[in-house]
Amino acid sequence: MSNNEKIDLEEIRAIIDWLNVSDDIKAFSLKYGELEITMSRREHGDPALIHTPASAVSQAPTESQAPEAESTKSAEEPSAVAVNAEEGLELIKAPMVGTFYASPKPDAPPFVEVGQEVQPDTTLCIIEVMKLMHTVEAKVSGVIKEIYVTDNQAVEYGQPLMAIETR
Amino acid sequence: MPADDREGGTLNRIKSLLIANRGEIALRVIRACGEMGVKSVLAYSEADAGSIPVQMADQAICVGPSGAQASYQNQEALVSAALVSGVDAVHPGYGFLSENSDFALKCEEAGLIFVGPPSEVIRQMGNKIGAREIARRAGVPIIPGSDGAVSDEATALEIASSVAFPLLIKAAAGGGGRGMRVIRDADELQGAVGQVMSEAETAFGNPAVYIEKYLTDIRHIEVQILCDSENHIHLGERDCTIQRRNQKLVEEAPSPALNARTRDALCESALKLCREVGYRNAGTVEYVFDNETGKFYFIEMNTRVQVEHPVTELVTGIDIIRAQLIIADGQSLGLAQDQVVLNGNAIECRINAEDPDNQFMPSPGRIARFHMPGGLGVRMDSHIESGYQVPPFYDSMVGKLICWGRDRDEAIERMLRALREMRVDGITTTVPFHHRLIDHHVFRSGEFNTAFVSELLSKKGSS
Repeated sequence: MSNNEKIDLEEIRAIIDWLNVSDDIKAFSLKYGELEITMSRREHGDPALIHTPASAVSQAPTESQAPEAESTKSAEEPSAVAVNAEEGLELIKAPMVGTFYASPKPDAPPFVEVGQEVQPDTTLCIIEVMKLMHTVEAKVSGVIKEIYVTDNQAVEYGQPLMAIETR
Repeated sequence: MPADDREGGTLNRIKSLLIANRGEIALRVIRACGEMGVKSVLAYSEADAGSIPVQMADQAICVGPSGAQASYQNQEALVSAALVSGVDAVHPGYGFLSENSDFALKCEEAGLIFVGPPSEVIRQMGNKIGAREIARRAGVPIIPGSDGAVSDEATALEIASSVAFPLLIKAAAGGGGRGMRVIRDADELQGAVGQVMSEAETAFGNPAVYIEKYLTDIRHIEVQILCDSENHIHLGERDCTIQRRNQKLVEEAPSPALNARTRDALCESALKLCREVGYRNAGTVEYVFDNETGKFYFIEMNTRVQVEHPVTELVTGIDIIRAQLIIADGQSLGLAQDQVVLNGNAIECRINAEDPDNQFMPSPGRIARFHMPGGLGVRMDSHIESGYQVPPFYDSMVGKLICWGRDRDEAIERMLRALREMRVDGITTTVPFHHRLIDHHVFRSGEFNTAFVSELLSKKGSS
């Protein structure tokens, strides 16, 4: 890069993408010419939660909905499947593998928070798949009981995102 | 056995790899990654959660529900999985998206290394009319027939008068035994071109068809090639004549039908084709071999790893998956043609969850007990285990048994012993059928053609 004064937008994007999937980096800053980027990661939550096979094996299977239940195993949310079995709780699962966004824009407030009331058409989050943004709606009326994932986190198909207490 | 070039084993660009496949080939790629210090990330469907490959991979990521369309054939989900898991490369295995040039292109555009040839080469070879034309340009023999696509009966009749019936009408977008019809005389030709065209349109989204002379007393023989930035080499041939309804059941290397001179000519022609198209990575050039005339003709090129690649690995000592990764990494294999030495014979039986006594109907279900055969010269590539539930969503192949011997007879005896040793309780498999086939005097003689299995099935028990 020494003989090239301009930094490419694509390169910046690549660096950010790389940071998003590197789970051992907590803070990062880059200064290049007039450009300065500083990024830091929230303390809670693993940014790239994709379960490891070890957790997959140790996870006890549940009786109901075997194929559905098997997909929800993750190191961070061992109780997710059990939660699903409870009466009056709707588990919202990732409809596709991608990146979870809690808010419409990086600095905007999140779509929903724990304790918030939602309607069937309330947008809960965005899943980005190859630069395409897919909105996830509540589909049910109720109150957000729990949010299992954090902004910018990689999610796999079927991974529990939120639980809604229905009424 | 010649040494695989271990010095080329350290990869520069590929530190982690997404495997966009399942079953035994996923496990095969995971094993290669394990030996090369590459992190394996397996994309899997809900039906395969908890499977042996999911357990063996360094990381696994669920990409969709059980149906292949929504998981193993879901291009967006697979590229997304590769991006969010931060891998450097994608291995497509065989089947599913392995020969889909759109998928290879999506990987390339996303900055991922696709373990295979460039998407443009996949596209060119995927069109059978185009591939035939490339072969003609390269001086590779092709079956007498049409120049390019045929869309009317007058042209078809002209071809019939020059090459004589029977003819084969084939879809340009077909391949692997799908999308073709045999025409025995002028009456059968009536309306046939239009019908196959509309069938091809429905099945492949491309109505183009072409015509070849239909040869009957033939063998299927294919050449394994490896092309890196410096060398185009071949690893000899595989004989895949033992088929049922155009699906391979048994493969062996080397072919019992070829003499040294024909083998050299065949393998050299495969290399000519690869040079013509600018091929890169592992590939297979498929031919029919006419038993009557001893001539061979190009039929298609498979731009991926083959199910039957282990027979070549056993007779050459070269790890083909490892070679694929080294080439994809941009390195040279450092392997010259004269360093490839064939040693002994190898035979592969595809073990399918099918009932040979009932038209080979798929037989999914739970495997109560599995015992894997072993011993010198016995290799079993399989993802099954005792208690494994064979899912009904995918291919019925549950494993491949491959046996090596110093000569063909030894390989046959070893295969029969290994087949007797194998236990797959709880589901019906093709194991007993394979024993009968391999033990048959016609198979032992090495003199057969592609009709052998159907003949064996029609006179059941008379062997």
